[in-house]
Amino acid sequence: MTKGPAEDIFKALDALDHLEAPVADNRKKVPFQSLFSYATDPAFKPDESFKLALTTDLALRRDLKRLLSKNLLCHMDKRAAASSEEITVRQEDSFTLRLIASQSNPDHIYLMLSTEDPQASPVFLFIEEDNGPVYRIAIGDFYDGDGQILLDRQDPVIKALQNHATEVLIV
Amino acid sequence: MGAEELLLESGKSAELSAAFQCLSDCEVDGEPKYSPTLCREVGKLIVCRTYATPLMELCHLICAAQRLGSYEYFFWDCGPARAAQFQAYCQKNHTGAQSGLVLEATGLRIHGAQDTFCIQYSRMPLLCGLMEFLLSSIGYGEVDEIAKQLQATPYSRKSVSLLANELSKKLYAFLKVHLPSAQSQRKFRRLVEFCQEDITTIDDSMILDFWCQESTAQASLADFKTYESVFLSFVRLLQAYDGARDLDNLKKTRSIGYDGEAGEISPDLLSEALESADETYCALERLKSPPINQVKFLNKLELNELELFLKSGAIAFRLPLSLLRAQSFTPLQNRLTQALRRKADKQEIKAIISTDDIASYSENQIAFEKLSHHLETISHAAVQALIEARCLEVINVLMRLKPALDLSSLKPYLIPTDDQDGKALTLAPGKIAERFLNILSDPEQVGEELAALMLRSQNAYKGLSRKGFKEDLSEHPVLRTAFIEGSPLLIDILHDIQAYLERLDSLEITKSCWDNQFNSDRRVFAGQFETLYGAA
Repeated sequence: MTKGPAEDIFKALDALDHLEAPVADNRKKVPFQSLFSYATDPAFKPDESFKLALTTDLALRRDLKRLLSKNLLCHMDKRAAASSEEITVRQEDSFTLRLIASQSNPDHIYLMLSTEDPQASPVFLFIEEDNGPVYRIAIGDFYDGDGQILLDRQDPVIKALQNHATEVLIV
Repeated sequence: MGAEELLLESGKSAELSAAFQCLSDCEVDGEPKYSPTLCREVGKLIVCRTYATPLMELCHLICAAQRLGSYEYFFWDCGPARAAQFQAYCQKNHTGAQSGLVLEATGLRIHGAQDTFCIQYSRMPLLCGLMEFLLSSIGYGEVDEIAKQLQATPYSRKSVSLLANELSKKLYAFLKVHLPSAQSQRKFRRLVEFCQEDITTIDDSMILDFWCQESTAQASLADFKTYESVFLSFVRLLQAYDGARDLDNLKKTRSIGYDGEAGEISPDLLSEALESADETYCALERLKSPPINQVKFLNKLELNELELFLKSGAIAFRLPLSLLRAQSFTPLQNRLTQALRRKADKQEIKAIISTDDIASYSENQIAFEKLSHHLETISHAAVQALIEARCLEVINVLMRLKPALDLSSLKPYLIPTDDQDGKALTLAPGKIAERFLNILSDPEQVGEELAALMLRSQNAYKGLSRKGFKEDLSEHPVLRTAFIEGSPLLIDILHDIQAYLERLDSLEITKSCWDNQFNSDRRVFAGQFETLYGAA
């Protein structure tokens, strides 16, 4: 008499239990909240699992790009590898990105960002290496169209920026 | 079904669990964005497939949020998903310049050329949770394309409804692949087959027999490997039959739109049935959710100790020994599976199986008694906290805590209702109740029993230093609400534990005493573990 409805209720209860079952670490997904905070909040500190997911999960990278595209000021695409020389200047729209060695300390490099647009006030640089990690650099001080960040010469961000197969998104 | 198919199917449902777990894992400003209660609500929408109307509301909300700026900022820049947070976000971002958007006292109203729709602030947390689930299941790309179309199309109920249907179809397609309904069906049928279609025959020994047979069977379902999952499967089976019986009774009294013979339940009825089956477990989730979690009535360990008991609900009284077995042997089986995962050798597996580090049935009963004692103390302390805050709700709490309390001495402080026989009494609000609060501790006025209860409440309150018990509730409205809503839950759990302990006392066990029963069961479990984990 009640078997049919009981089966329906059982299936729903069982599905609810499955839904809430613990998930192995390697199957966990990144909540969109984390991606949003990463894309918009300079104070957000991504944990290791987030960084790893951003390196290995192509769907997550696509989502990040889609999200960034909504506030995008400039997209500096990959460069054709016309020469084997490392890139030190990237220019797109009104933005220019330069890598300039520090004169006082040869181990340091200045990442200089400038724009001709007086209204622009960039918050982040997202640097995406082809088949590599994504780096996020918060631009703390940006005045009168100029900002600079001092980085170690060995910093992976510098290596990525020197690479032809790297995209830069300025938001 | 072959092992490969089973593996494939479990992978699919793991994808769904991973998508859903995004909700409980989601944190903002160091606290969970979605409360356990909210996660459960979203879960019910999914498994009962009652998401069509919420998706329609969500699409209206996306339209409104886009007029405020961006839907991403609306949902993920507002902090924890609470009605007040969304209301504050709307107030902050509503400039008045956004055409067709009006802030109302209870919600956000969006106007089109001909249509209007109001989304209540109180609905927004659930809609936000549903949105988070959509992004982690069908994906941000798919949802964003719908959001773009919503923005590009002139707002009307019809256009929103069309796009909501599209979203609904995408979710349906995802769930069709990932919701493990075939697996659940096989489980149900195996359980029913084992008790030969007569669920009244299910008892403690049948559950143990089922586990011994199924856990080592070659074509065993993954869900029957652990004793705990077998026990909970039987609990679910009995809950499902209870729910179906209730539906049948309802059908006799009114037309409820389902055909019991054909086994068709409408999604809304299914959702209702789920709610009643899960009633006690929901109490646990409410304790973990705001506002009640603002007071530390129970710590993490105590909540964990209660979990299995509350998951069992009323079935714990039908299967008292099975619950004790699960309490005692689940930690041991968990240790064994962990050891196997790290590829422990045979010796280590044997050592775990024969360990003495396992709580016996008597020890588990003592643990329940301790929990019961703690809940009693907490409930009394809550009474005192409510009295100190002059919360009149304390009267309901007192009556729930001691239903048999003799309140005849309070007659002078109560006002008779206008019942014709004049016997029924009711408490009047305002001054009379205020007077009642003032005299509560005076034995001469309220009698020895109530005065003793008040003294116990004062002492319990003084002795507790947990979060929420030392603050002045009159200055913290959230804590006040936490006490008002949390106290009845705690008292219900307390009464359930006391009833369960009484049930155990009256239980006729085959091995004359609990220690003998435990030792006998231990041999059965050890033998089964040896076969199951290759230590034989």
